[in-house]
Amino acid sequence: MPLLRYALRRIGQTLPVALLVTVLIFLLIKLIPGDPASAILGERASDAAVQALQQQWGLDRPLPVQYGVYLRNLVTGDLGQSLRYRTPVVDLLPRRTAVTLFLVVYSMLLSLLVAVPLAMVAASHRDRWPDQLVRGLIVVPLASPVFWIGILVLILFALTLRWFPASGYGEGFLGHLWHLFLPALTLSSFFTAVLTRNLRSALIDVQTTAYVDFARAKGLDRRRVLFSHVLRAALLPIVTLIGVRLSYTIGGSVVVETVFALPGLGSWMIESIFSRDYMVVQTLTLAFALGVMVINLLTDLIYPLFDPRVRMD
Amino acid sequence: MSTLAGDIAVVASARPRLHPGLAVGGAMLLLLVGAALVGPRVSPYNPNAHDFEQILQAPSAVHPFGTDNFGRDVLTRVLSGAAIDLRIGVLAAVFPFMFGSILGAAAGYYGRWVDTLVMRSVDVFTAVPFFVLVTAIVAFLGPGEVNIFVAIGVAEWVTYARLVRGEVLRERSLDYVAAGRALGFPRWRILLGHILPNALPPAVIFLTSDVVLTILTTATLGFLGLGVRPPAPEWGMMMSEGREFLSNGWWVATMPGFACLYTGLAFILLGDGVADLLRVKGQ
Repeated sequence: MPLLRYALRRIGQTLPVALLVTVLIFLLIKLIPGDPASAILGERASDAAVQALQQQWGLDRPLPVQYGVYLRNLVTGDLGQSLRYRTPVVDLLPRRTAVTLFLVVYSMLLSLLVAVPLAMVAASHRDRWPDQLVRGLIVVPLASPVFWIGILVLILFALTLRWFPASGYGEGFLGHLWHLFLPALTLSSFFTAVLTRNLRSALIDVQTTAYVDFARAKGLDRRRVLFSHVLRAALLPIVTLIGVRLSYTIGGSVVVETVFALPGLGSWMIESIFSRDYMVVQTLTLAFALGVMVINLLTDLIYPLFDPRVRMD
Repeated sequence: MSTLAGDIAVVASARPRLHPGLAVGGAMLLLLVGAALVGPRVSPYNPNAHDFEQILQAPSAVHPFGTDNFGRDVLTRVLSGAAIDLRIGVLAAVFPFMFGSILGAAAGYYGRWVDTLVMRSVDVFTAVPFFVLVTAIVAFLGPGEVNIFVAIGVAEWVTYARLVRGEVLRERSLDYVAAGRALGFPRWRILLGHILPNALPPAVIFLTSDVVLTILTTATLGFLGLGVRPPAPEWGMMMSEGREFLSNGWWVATMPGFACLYTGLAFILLGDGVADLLRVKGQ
């Protein structure tokens, strides 16, 4: 089973990195100027409370021991306490994760939905005005901040035209689709631009290959060649692109959730920063990192199924 | 892959020797720097002075970008903000370029445990999404300009390390390095004086386009309230303040964004130009 061996090896490569990521994120708390316990509890906290927290986290013990405590807590599912909500982080995590996951997947799908036709129009009118229009348009999301695009979209579609709600998550699947449309559109803009650019050049490259010439020489319909031969080959490398760009999209979701007031992981992270809920910030940073690692691992594992040319040894 | 500069080449072919991306991007940037230097001086308004008779005035001949909720002239603030966002954005890109390149060069040249150490660190830092890591570091260090440099530096050095390491590995096996060794040059001299100048161009190309990312990150941190402190007219912070007045003063939140877009475009064009220039020279 070469596939199984390949899968096990990829997982074996990811695990040590994941462990080192926990070290990096554990060390973040050391960046707090002064004593973390008193910074977290605020200036009005009593000495006894500060000492209790220091003891609970093992802050009075050597660094490796502290990391040991941190890792043990992680493994046993004790992700800390939200000081603001007075509940364990674990209890709030699933609902918040669902919002962010919905937003990210939604925006990825929107990107594909927009980028594929744009790239096809551009590639089939190469260097003529439709191509130049597309290439001009996609520079905008690459050169401007995502929250600004969110503000423009908000003013246009929510406040002026009133087509979509300006904030909130909505009820039920259709409600989520409806409420998250503008946030997902905003978040998708950057990836749409990258995707269109890559897909356009891939389409142009594939169009000049011998097997496409052959398909045309056979007398196949132009459109059929484009859809079943050219597009299929050009879309394959895009799968790896999704893995690479996911990290950016996740980062963007933090900002977009804040603009549209969505109850996801990103807006929770920003709220927690301002309420000095440091443990939540730490746990969410780890959640984002591990989430991206898992999805990248999955794309790597799925890719050989689509492209038999990938060697698994 | 075709570039935006390539599109402009068709239009601007009148000057064949100057690269169109460099010319247009450079001119746009010069114009911005000039406006940032001169604008606040010639403007009749103070970027931070409140004027409660002029609150939320729509764009007009007197206030081309309108006024904000304190009656401050938005154009004057956008121009003063250019100095802040440009300075932070450019410096935030230069620091990781410097120490990322050094670490990458050391990894590629010395190999063995140095390489393992640097490259495993690269894996770990890449695993955390860029903006999440930047935000987390600023969250723990606190806001402020220096902390922005630290945060972006810690998150962004990896790209430069990876780029330069790859180039150094390629250069290391070339004849001129063997010649240097045969002449008895010390290793550090071969690395710094001979290999590094040849290994840097890809990192320099990346640096120019990376400035776009660092400027956008600076504005985003400002927008989230994690950037420089108010009342500094930082673009991201201005847009954040304008969010409360989207329906009765859209210009407060949108105008600084156009400045961001303009700056981003300038650096993208410049990056295309630098890329073409260095690639031509390298061949």
